[in-house]
Amino acid sequence: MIVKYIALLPEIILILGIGLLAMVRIFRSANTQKTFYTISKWTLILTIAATVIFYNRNVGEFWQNNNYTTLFKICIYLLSIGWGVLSLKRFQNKEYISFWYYFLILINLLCFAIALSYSSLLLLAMMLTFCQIFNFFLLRLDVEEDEMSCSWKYLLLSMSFCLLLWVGVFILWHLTGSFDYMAIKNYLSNPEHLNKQISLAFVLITIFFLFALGVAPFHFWYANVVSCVILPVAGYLTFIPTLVYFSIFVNLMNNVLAPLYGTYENAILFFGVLSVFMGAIGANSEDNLRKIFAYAGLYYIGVVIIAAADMQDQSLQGAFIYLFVYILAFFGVYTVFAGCRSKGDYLHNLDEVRGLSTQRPLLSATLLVLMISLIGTPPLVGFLGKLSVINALVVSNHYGLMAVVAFSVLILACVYLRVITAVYFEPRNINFDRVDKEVYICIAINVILIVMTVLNPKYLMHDVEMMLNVNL
Amino acid sequence: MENLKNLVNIIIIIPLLGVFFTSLSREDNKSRLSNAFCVGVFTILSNLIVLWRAALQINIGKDSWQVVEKFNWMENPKIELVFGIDVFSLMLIAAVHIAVLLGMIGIRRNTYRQKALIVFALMFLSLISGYFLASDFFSFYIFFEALLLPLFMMIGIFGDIKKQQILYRFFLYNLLGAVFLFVALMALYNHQNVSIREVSQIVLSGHGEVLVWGSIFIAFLSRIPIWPFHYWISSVSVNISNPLVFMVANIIPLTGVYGLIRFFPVNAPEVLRPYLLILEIISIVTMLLISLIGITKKDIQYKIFAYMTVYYIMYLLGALLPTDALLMNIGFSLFSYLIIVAALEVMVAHIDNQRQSGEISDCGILCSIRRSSVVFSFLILAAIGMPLSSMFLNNMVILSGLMKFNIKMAVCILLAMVLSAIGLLQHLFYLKYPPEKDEMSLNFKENEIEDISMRVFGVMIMTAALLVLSFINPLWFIG
Repeated sequence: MIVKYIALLPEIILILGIGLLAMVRIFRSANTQKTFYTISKWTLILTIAATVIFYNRNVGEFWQNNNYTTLFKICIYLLSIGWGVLSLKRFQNKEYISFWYYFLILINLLCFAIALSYSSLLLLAMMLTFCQIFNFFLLRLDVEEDEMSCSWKYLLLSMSFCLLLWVGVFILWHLTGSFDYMAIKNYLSNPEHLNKQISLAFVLITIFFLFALGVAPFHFWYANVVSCVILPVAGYLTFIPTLVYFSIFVNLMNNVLAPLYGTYENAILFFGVLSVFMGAIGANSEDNLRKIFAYAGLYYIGVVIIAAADMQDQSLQGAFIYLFVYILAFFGVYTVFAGCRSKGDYLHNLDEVRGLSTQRPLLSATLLVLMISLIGTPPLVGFLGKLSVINALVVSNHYGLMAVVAFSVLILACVYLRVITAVYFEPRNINFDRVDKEVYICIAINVILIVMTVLNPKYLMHDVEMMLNVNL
Repeated sequence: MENLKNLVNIIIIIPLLGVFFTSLSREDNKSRLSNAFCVGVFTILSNLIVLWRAALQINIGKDSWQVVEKFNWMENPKIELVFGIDVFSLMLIAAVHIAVLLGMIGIRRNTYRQKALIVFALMFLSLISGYFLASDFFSFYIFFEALLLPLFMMIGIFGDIKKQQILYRFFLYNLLGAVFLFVALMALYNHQNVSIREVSQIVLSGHGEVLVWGSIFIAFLSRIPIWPFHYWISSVSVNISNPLVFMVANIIPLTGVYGLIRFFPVNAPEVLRPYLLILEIISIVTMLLISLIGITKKDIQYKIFAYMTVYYIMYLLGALLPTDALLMNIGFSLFSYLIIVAALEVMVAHIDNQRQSGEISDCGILCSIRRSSVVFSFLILAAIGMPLSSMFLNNMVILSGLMKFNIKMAVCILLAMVLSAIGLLQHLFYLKYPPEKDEMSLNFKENEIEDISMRVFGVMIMTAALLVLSFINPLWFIG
């Protein structure tokens, strides 16, 4: 009996961890910021171990663990641990209780894990709605009173889009009589069943995912939210949800809604191209560092959407490699942000990081390498992403899109040049605080990963290929 | 051949090791020369020895590219990085190393972020060596684009660029060129990496041919100061007072010329023939205009820039001739040309420093500094094509080759070369012979003006000897 449900062990560990966090908060009085971080860290380490051990165990037909889900789960857990370390410093410096942050992160991760593995649209919609609600609480952590409106706007928007998701899911349930992925897929594979209601359901579900990924024209919330929340939340919103939503989106489009996807492929492509240009142009119009990188993220997600648009093996491989590379680079960028402080405050604006290289050369060098990598300059890791995407587009004879991806980077490069200019070529006007050793450790790990990937990209390519072969 | 294989890798790796050790070196304000400077010089000298060893291994008589190293980088898409060497690339690598070494000697007293400057200079050396050794399209592109990073950082930090827009345009122009090359690469690639020497033999159809060859041409031309790509390099070069940065910035057009030579060693693709005539006309107009502007400008930096532009375009037009017979002549000429310009820049920087520190006019300044006068005069005479370096004979061969194919073009090129030479001689005259009425220049006191040190003079004498040796026997170092 227990063996049958052993595949659920990682999620059970997460639930236990969440329970333990709550118990410690309630019953233990001598808690520090580190207490909650330590519990979260060990919960995640044990969860990773269980995920790796039971990577291919299933529970019935509904709970699917495979290379695809395992890779994404491990990625989000590892990123959460890494980002958790850097976030802790923020809470310690500000003497702000860290319980809610780690508690909400663990709950979010649990919801994402269930959404990734469970093959039911009902549970998927429930989990993703919960995530949006928990995000609302995350956005409110330690922010000024006048910036609370940002979280309320987000809640209103996200609930509206969740409503679309629910309507889409219920239309499908109404027509197919099931929430199960396989049953819906079988139903849709009959061309006679494809009608306007089904199309409407597809459109509504897709719109929710485009919103959650922050794809243009549904991106309007993202840059504002990222800029008005505390750095730990901004970082979390940048890495984790992007990975999860995109993986679920691809899974749905390939394994559930595939018969409908072809009809809307051009529309998805259009949103991708729009994101690329809106992202590149939007980034150039900003002076706030987080907004700059939020728009840059829009550009990258646009490229990922373009690459994955035809949902073929080669295209998906290119898209996922690009996604991993961009998330890795963004993690590095946010690590640098975690190290950029003056008088205890995190620096937000371009003007504030002027002359950073004269006092913090290592941080500056990291930022420089990451930005040059994000432009796609060889031999850095960003080039691998660019190469994979362009190669996929060439193979699928999308030469026009290849030109869009290749040349639009020039627009984005302008904003990176502004950042490099501020950091390296302009005189320093403030004193930067001492950088925590955790920041250097994270930078070192990031650099090692980048160097390993550059020297031997076969591992990254091979892993992504294996992941796609199994699931898609 | 086995030794050569190892040496080719080492040529790229040594400067990278230099980058590493320079980054770790401690700033030392007590000693005359910084640790970073010493590491930089040692790195370049070590690599020059390796280059010499590699030169001894190369089969001179073998008229082909010697592929010596393959590195399987990726499986999907299948990418194999291939490195090779021949006398032409070896000479260019050696010349760039010597030029950067001379540039470093020029900045030995500059304390402003010297460590960063040397780090980026060594990174540039490693990447440009990789560029000259790249044998397949992919590695060629990788080094072509990667060169931009150290270059941008050096010009940005040490280039005295007042307007950031100039800097951005410089980077974006070059990145645009790299994107064109990448587009051509991906269009050509088709899941099989190609050797750059075979690229021109690939048969393409219709629009594909125009797209691919056109992209490759634009990519390389974007690095050469020909209209409409001249703006970035002229606006960047005239501001730079640091000899090392000036030299590195002005080596970039060499990458464009080298790319065209490697991709189209014998002939440009048929589809580009109608455009070649336009290119030749634009090139000649650019040469003539820039050499005329060089005469009118008083700034020596601009005169040297004009001189370099004229010669680069001459090499380009020589490379575009429907023959590969001039390849080695271009190589021998480029070898001396780069060394002469680097040494000249060191001297110009020294004179400029004296002018600024003494708050005096530089008119007639060479009368008071004899060692500088000797070196400067030698270098100007060698630069204009006097029989003091390998430029003399090889430029004559290149010009005769140009005359053979298009006499009108050759006459125009010759005119531009004469004009650029007049510009340089004009400045030499200005520095050596002050007008009698110029009281400022007559009031030099011996103590106010410092001549180059004996060490630098020794280096310059060795450089002069090297140039003369290259005139007597361009391949003297091989024996």
